[in-house]
Amino acid sequence: MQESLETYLLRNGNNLSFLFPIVFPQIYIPPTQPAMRSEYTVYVPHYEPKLAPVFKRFEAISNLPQNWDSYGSEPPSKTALDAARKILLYFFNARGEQSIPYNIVPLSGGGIQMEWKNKDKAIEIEVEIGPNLAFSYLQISSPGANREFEEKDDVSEYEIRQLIDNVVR
Amino acid sequence: MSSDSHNTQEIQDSDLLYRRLAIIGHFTPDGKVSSNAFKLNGKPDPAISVDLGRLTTQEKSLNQAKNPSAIKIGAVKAGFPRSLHLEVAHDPQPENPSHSLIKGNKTRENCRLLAEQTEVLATPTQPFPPILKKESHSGS
Repeated sequence: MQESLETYLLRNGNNLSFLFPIVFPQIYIPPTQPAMRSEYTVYVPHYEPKLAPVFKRFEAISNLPQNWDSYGSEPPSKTALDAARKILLYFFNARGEQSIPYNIVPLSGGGIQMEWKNKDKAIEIEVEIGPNLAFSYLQISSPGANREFEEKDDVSEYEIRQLIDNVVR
Repeated sequence: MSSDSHNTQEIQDSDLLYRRLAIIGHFTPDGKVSSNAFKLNGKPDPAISVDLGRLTTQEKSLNQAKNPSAIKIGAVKAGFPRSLHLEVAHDPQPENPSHSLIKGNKTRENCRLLAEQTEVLATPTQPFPPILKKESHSGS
């Protein structure tokens, strides 16, 4: 069932839905996992050149071979890749270019890691998406010798989006 | 894995430890090492495999990989993981006498710090292009 991203967010109690513009073009991106087809429609603005290098990176990561890290790792799972793309597009729609991650790398074991930095706020976050959608993070705040690290395993996607939003807004 | 304890050597703080780094996967856009290089199955690797530099060469470490052209070598002094209260121990294997382990890594913070201290011994010849142009990026 297709529904607008805004409706999905409201239905799931996400209070960031008010950030979305009233009208913008929609393009349906079918998820690769059949079980996810009943979820939400991802809105992608008309071809956005700024996203091209990001999707090029996703493509390169998705084409990694078995043992890409020379220590036996499998390549990132489609589930993790899909989740990472959706998070990326969610924030690009809401926050624009400043929400594009600083880095996107594969994780040993089939996950994806995305990193955001905000120099003005002196805050960074590394978000890990496991092959089966387990979310974890490392947040680094305050520059220099007094950096503070906060990390947590197995958090909700909602909490992850809140943390990312704190960096990119 | 079984270790040959008869050939086990003491690792000094000044000894270099080599870690294989995938060109596609283990670097930041500015050519530095990413923290994922020290993670296993999405979590901090509790026993990070490295090679003791003085018992091997960069080429030999590279050739441990199936595709050496996709790999670079990063080096960190043994004293640094010890400063993070991690154990560094020689763990020779029949196929790799220089094999060693950085044991006890349990935090992403350590992964990040290890990555920051790891020096790439040769700049990747095909660094992953940055996602954003440097001047427009809001990060450091």
